[in-house]
Amino acid sequence: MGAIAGALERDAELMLRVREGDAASFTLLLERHRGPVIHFIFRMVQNHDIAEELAQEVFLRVYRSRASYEVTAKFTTWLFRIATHLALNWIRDGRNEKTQESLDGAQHDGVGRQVADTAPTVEQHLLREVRLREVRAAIDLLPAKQRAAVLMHKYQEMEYSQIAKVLSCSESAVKSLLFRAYETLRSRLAHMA
Amino acid sequence: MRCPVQTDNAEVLLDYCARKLSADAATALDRHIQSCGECRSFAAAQRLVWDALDAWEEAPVSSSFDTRLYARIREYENTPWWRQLALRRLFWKPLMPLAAACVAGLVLLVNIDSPRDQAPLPAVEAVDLDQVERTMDDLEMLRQLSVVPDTQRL
Repeated sequence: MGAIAGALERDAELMLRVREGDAASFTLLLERHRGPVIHFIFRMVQNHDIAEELAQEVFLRVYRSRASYEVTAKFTTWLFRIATHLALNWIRDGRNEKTQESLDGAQHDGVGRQVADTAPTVEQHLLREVRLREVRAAIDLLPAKQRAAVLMHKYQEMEYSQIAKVLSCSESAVKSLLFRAYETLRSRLAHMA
Repeated sequence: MRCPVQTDNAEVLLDYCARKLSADAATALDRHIQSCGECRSFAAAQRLVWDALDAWEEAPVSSSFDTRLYARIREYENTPWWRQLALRRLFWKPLMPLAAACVAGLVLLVNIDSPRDQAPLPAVEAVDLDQVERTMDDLEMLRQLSVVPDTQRL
């Protein structure tokens, strides 16, 4: 808990230094959060190039807003709020093009890297790829806000309260979103047992 | 322990599968799950989802990500201050509701003033009431003098 609090203070401290014009602190913040932001957006939009483009916009907005930054919430809440906002807007505006790309291209989703690292058999690799496609399709079919809630809950390990702040809704609304989303996923992925 | 499914508290099972419960709560739920078929099947299905989501690993980040980002930051730094303000939406965002209200008011005024949507009214000649009164007086006087023309008597 102390380590988490320390990390939070560290982020806020770094951002306050960025506000004072310290470029090195921005680099540190970028190094700490670049990965989680890109992976979150990628799982939201399921297109690697779009995810990186949107992540660039997230960090650019952080940089632009540095002068008005105040420590009113966790830095990551603010960061993921921007990321979620951009991803939800993108999904709302460009969903059709995205779906086509995401179903065709799996080169960016870690499968290739896994082959190199653990060298599974071709059969294992294909089975893994099929399961991964099913997971991605199941996530993709969730309503965007449920998807965001699940991704923050599962992969960013955020508390309900933080997800609620990111999505600007109540904690009970987040619990309801998650419950419905997992219910859908349980039914869609039941055959994988 | 009260059954989470029966008491509409199934989120505890989500936390249990996400390993977010305290050790004591997890042990109590473990014991309950052993004796409750409904919770057992719920937890098994949720664990399956959890494990399936684990299969979705993180993709590597492009090596050019930072370079591209810093290029965009430099581009931003080189834009004029007024354009930066616009990009940061500092000065115009709070004014948006006011601007919207002004535009709505203007549209309303133009619509009220403009008769283009109304059907054209029939031409009405201006009537001078004094003149009508004078004519009526003249006719009355002529009638009394009996000099009213025949056509007017009919």
